[in-house]
Amino acid sequence: MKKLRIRFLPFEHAVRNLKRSPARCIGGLLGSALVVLLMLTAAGFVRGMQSSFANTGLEDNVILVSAGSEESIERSEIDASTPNAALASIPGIKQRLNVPYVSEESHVQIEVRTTANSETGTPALIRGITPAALLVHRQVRLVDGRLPQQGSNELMLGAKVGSRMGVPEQVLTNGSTLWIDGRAWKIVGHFDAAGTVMESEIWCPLQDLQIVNKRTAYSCVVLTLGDAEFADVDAFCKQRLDLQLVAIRESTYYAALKKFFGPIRAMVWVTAILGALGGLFGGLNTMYAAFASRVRELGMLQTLGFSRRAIVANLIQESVVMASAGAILAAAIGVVFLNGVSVKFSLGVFGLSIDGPALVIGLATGLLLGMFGSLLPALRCLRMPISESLKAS
Amino acid sequence: MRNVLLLLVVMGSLLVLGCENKDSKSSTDKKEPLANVPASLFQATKLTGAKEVLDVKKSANLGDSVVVHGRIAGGKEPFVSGRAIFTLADAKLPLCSEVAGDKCPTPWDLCCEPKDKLAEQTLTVEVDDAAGKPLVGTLMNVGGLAPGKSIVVKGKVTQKPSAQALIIRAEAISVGT
Repeated sequence: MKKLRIRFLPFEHAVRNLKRSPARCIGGLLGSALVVLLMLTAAGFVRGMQSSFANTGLEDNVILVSAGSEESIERSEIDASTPNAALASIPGIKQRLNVPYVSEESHVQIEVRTTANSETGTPALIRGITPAALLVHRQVRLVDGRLPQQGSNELMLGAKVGSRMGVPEQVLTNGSTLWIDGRAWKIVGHFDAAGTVMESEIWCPLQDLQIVNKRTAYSCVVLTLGDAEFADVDAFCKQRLDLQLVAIRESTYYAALKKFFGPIRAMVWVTAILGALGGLFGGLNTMYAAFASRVRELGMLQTLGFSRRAIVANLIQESVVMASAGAILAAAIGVVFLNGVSVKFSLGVFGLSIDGPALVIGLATGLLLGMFGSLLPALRCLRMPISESLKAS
Repeated sequence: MRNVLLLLVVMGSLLVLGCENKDSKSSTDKKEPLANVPASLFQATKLTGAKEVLDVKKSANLGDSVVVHGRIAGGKEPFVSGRAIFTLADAKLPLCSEVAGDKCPTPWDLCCEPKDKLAEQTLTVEVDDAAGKPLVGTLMNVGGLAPGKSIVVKGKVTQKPSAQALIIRAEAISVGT
């Protein structure tokens, strides 16, 4: 006689079971959505911070700073003759229509006030620039207004300055005034910069900032390599020891800053994982109760010839469908409401990035939750002998 | 059971895809090509008649032949990556490791010294090709050259861009005191 081989329960059985208790199903769905949302937020935070730094540093830009200030441009002071010396000594710097890609800049953290009478201001990074900055920092795009003119106390604001200062966008429109060092500065333009840290900066003419700062030295010179190599710039620095310069690739500088914030990113992950584990263990209790009430049904299925493995698989399918639905709901909420939300930190502002990898992490969390949230309860419920399970109330 | 295994494989793939990309190795981690220096550059016996870096900087003029003693130092990376150039500091400037209690990982950067003093007591050494341009490739670990090493260089002053900057084209180098 041929052995009757019973296969797994149909998938529809798992899906139909979800409708038996709508309240429990919705509760489970919302619970897994919350856990996935927590993981999505953590992933979005980490991805947003990483891409903010990664996009800021261009591989072919080299920053010249004073020796000993490699970790903070704001502490650097270099001689005003540096740009011309670099241009004369380093062949192959990128040029367009005979305009070299050499940008001398001043980076200063200053308190900025929205009114003359404000008691406190918000520290903001102000970058003093020349028009060459727009050649060198190719991510920057003027979105309205114009470049500030020298000698007119004018400013250009990055797209995230409002978030950085905690003021509404209406306060920072063109024509509005900000107060820096006791003087009124007029906003004449806005720029965006592809999600880089520059979007939380305020830009003004270099000489105007030097007057405010009362110094003639620059913080740095940023130049773009054309045919020149990084070694040529490094050689220039080591040949002109009198200028006391160090050359760093812009990408290397921001990679070091990114590394500095590594512990914060690690803490965010640890917090999210602990939250997810809390959700998982809470869900385990709920699933124990849910499966315990179906012991008779499970006993009946075994009587009909379905193996314990088949029943466990079906219970896991049920749980995975519910958790996946929750994960998709969380993903939709994340993409619509969380993506791009500004987060302030010491260097500026970045936006949460609910991108592909973040969504994959969120959806994978949902799948894991569905699998492991039901496995142990299912195994426990199936330990009972069939005769006892059929008699259970 | 097969469904469970399939789900595990899918999950695993998703996790691998979703994991952060490991940072790719930075350009500084790549092995630098070494400069192809002339065989006669490194001398087995110590070059004689050497003056200290500070004395050479005060007295030497453009075109002078000089013999200078010093230590390969003056910054975290005294060798230029990709060019046969390094900085030489006066031997009297103490390395950070010679200061009691200093555990600086790069003692040859002389960070304890004021920057002006450092600029005054360091010069630049190049090994050039026939056209007068620095050879391509680093000099680090060539002929025993390393940060902090004491050496004697014989060469010609080829550039003096300012009172504090002096560049010597090396013709012979002996390593060690």
